[in-house]
Amino acid sequence: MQGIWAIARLMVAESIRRRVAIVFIAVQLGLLAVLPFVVEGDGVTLRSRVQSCLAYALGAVGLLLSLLTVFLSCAAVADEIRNKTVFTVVSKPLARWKLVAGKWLGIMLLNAALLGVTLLAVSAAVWYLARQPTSVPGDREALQFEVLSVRHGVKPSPPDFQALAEEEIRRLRQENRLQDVSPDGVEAVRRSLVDNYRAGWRSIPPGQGRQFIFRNLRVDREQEGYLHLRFKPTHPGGLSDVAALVRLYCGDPEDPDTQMAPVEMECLVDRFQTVPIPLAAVNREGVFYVLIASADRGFTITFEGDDSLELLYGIGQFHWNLFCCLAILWCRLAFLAAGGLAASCFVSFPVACMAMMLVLFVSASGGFLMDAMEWVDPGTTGKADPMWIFGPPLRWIGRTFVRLVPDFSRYDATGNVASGRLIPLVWTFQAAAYLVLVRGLILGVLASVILTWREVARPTA
Amino acid sequence: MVATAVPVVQAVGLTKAFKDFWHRQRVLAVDRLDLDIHANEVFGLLGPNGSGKTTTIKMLLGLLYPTRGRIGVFGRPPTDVAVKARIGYLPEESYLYRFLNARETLDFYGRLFRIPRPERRRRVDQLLEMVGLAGEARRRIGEYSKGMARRIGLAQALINDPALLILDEPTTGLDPIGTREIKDLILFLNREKRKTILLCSHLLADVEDVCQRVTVLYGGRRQAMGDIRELLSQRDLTQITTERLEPSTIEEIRRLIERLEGKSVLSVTAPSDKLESFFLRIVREARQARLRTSGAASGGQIADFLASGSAEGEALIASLVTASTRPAPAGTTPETPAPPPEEPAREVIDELVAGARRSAEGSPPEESPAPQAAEADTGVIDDLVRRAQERRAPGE
Repeated sequence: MQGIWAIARLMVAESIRRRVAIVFIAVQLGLLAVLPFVVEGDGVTLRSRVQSCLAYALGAVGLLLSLLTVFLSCAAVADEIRNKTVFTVVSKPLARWKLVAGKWLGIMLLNAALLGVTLLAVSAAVWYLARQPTSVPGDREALQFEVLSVRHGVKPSPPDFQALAEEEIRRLRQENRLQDVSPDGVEAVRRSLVDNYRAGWRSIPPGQGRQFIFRNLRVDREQEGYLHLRFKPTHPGGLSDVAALVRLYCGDPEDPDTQMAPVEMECLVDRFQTVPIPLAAVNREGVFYVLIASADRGFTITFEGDDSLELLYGIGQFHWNLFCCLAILWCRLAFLAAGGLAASCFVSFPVACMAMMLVLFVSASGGFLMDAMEWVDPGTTGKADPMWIFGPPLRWIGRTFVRLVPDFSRYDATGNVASGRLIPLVWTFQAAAYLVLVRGLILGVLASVILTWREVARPTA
Repeated sequence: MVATAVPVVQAVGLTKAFKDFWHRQRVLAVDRLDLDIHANEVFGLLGPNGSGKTTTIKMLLGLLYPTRGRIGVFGRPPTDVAVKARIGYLPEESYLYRFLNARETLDFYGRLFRIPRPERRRRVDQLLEMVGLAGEARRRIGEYSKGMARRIGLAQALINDPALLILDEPTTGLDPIGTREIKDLILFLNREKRKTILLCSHLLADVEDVCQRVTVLYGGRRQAMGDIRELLSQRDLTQITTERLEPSTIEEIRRLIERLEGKSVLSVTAPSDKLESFFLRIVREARQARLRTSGAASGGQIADFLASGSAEGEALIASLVTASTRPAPAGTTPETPAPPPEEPAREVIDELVAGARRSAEGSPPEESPAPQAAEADTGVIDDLVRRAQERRAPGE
């Protein structure tokens, strides 16, 4: 371990004393210092300004540290070989895998330190912005609840569609409307009923109401405080400039203690609405019932998409979320460092850099690349292959490469930080397991094998 | 120098061919080289540029892999990490980290040998003192002159108190004083510490001064190998050296030789001083006159951890070679340095003087096993004694 530690210390010293690392660090710190003063958000609310600042700062730090990691890792071993400093290192009692491990550790220690600085700088920026004056009523509260806290979001539990369909079948039988129908026909009716319920349970026809149930809420109903019901009704015709009249009946229908006075509100469709609800509306089993009625007789309102209806409640501090977000970013950097080192063990710095830039590009836009390849695939389009006979092998190589490279959008929690949503700990563990322990380790082993197998000296005779 | 039966370094049919991208053989850098380096000897690898010396050394260290043939260091393959704990290596140029200073550099290499921190600090201080860079220890190596970088390169090769020291062109870039000091150090490490040293050079004077056995390489092939005295001796000539003679006496001797042996005298000359000796004398006088200079100071006394402790010599090497048959923990240094004596410089010098006297008195010159080495030794001792006295003077 002492050998690995010695190499790691050397790597950190080298990174700090090399101008390229200093430039990156200076740009990062400068950016974090300037952002709070230049970011406008929607130009009106403080909440939006803080959210934009967070999104820009975390995005920029992610990009800058990714580039720094690629440069450092690609130079790490290749430069040792080019400058021949590797001669005096591998002629010491240090296994070559330890050289790779030490370099990786050094880069990741530097990254951890820089992410620590980021944590402090972003916290300071947010602290500064949160104290700026605002003229919008409720803006400061919105900032506090929607950005500067960590909220857990709960989706409504879908009803038991099978049971509902069964009940409907029973009713139809009682009304003798299924007596001439074969068993297969009844089954078809049942299936179609289930499909209908599934498609319609998030829609509320005009003049009707629908009950939504949120379970497993970890809140103390005896405490002062609020839940926030967040929803976005949509118009069936896709209109966005009409208002819907909505009435909310909160509380367990069988528990009078939980029942609240109805709330009626007019809300623009296609916009998120947030309604505070006292914690006392949650019953003793941690279940919250809300009946949403469309008081308008004009059109059916629908909650499309998973996020269009949810219940949010605060469970922690903003800093914890920020820490988790940066921890996930560290895992991404760990993967990039391992990849850069592996490349650095068998090609020169510029070639390794180009390869890793490609990896970085693909990992940031893998989904788009897959779609792009679909669009030119004659199997999808039915047209002639624009790349002629080279199309199939090129697409195969492209798809294989995209599949091998992790999709970084799956390991990006910036959105959660900006919207004050809890970053589940499992995300961090997934990133650590998948990016560091599996892919990072595979690349590390590959780098070690290459470095052990290759000759580190070049012909001189 | 007595050699043990098992060589410290053994190469059999060692061949290295460099190939191009298409695996076509481009250069045969080393061609079927057989090499045996025994314990406690200074072995010279001699040859012009491009003769395969450095390639051979790189194969010994596992930096290059042989195309054909077999190579063993302490009975193990050179890629064995444990073996490297016993080797000190000075490359042909000091490939060091330019962004570190001298102290950080030595500390870094000390860490790679897992030397504990207090011991590491002690060794670093002593080595910096020994190579004359104690005053420049905080300067980055990128700012060093070639000679200074060479000195720090040598210091890193000695940080682990190695049993086998591989020096590739150690005197390149050094002034004559530095060169002399390195040669003295080689002789000291070999004689007093019974270290095995492989010296690779194209500077014939270096090799001649310190090596006991040499291999001459040319075109990657061994051209000659053996005891340096045997290789250099001119058996059909006899040289007589006396104090200055009158021309009439010389004429008398010439006639006597012709009468008794029937042979003619080939030349009669007054021997001139070697340029190296002349240069060293001038500098010594200038130093005594307290003239200042920049750059590295002249080397100091031998580092305690190298000078102290009993020289286990053959026993040590034998145990290393024997140990090679069983796995040894990585990073263990073969010798545990004893605590430093109170007056190391005096002890070292006393030991050296005593040793030199013994060898001078013990056997007649014509039967002496190493007359040239003994001559060099006396020079070293004189120099060491004089320096120690100079250094002691201000304190007393």
